[in-house]
Amino acid sequence: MKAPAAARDNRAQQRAALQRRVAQVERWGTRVALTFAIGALALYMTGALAPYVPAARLVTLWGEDLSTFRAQTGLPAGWDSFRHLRHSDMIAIAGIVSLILVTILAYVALLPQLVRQRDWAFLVVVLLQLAVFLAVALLPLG
Amino acid sequence: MSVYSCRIGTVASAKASAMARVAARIMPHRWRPAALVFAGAACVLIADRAVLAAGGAPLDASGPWWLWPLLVFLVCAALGVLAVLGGIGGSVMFVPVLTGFTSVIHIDFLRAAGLMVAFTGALAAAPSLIRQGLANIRLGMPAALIASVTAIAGAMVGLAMPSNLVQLSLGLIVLAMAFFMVLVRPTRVAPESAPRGLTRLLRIEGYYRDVERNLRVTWRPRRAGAGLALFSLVGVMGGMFGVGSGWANVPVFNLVMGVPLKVAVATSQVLMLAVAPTAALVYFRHGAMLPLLVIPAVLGMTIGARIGARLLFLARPALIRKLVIAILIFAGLRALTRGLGL
Repeated sequence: MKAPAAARDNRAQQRAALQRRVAQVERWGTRVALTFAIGALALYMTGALAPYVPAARLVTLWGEDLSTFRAQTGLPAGWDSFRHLRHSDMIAIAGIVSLILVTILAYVALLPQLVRQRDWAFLVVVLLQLAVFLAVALLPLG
Repeated sequence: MSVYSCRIGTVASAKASAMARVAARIMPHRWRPAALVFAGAACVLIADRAVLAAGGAPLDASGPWWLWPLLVFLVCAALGVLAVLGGIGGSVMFVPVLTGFTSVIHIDFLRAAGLMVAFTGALAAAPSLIRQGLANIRLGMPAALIASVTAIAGAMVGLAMPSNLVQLSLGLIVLAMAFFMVLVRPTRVAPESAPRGLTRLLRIEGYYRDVERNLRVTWRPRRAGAGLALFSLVGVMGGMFGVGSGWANVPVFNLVMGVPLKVAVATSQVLMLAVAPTAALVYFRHGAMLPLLVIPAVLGMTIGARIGARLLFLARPALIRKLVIAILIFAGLRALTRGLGL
């Protein structure tokens, strides 16, 4: 009876270690990313750094659909925004993307532990999820 | 208290119980919540039409620009308070309420912001829930994988759809959410069974400490295949409408897979941590992420949720929940009427 109980305890400890790792990365990542995003928004709203599209103009156009809005503002989409990081609104977009990165980092942080625990089935789930993130971030979306 | 007020109270309660007896004869008990929602919806629709007929107009883009981020922040803070007190995710209300009450911001941008609101809410709540073991990553991550793939499809279809069709579908979905909130009751935890298939392969099981009853509750999900199939639908809706999917995740975990309600609610956040950012990346790559909208919304919702958590001991959750349902019905009907061009 002792062997199955020990195995169960071991599994519970491994599960708890995985949970702790995810929680830790998310807590710290969120703090950093949210501070970055708020700081960037402050730059945008105060006009301390020139924006790509001034806020006063943006609010008159954000009622338009996406294609009209982009045609009228010339605002770069997706990763193209990162080519214009001298503008405060583009830095703020980077702040938003940094929030998204937190979750990806949490998934990446699981990989070494899953390999160490030889938890291959769950490792496949995590790798597939990372592949989905990668695909949506990089592949053409049409 | 005077004799009068006592008597009035007695008469009122007698009248109420007589009405309840009549209502029970007319309609079986289990259909009454649905009938109430129908009646409420009809009243709201009539009131909405009356306001428009009287010359009421939606908010417009006039006024200083800084008023808008401030307004978004304040509305989101209020929604955050209501969401915590009503026991739902704030993002469920974000898109419906902002499309329902103002036509200034296009629904494409609101959906992108809604996903970020859902995501940040989950980021704020998940770490402590995961650390406590209430949110289970072994249960949440496989479901999140399925839902995030379908969320990409949902987001792409949503962006390609004409706005009025999105509004119409959103209205129907929001009304469905309200029905869910009225009708769905938690199920009892399924008795532990031997792990099979996916549950066994991924070692999905867990336990948590029920502080109220001082018990260690162990659980193991059932019908994993059916649950994952339903999560694919949840993902499509989340991506398409930019609404958080807690309202659908929790019933799937609890009613279909037999996971304890507390674990279902907490693990729903793990799902949101993958599904919302995946769909948000689609909106980001199409250029729909506007910092002037997203960051005040995220900040407002986070602060509102914290205030809500502090007010929790003062509030009457049942009453707040009814208020949230009423808001959802109103917002759903507004979206529906806009979609129909009425």
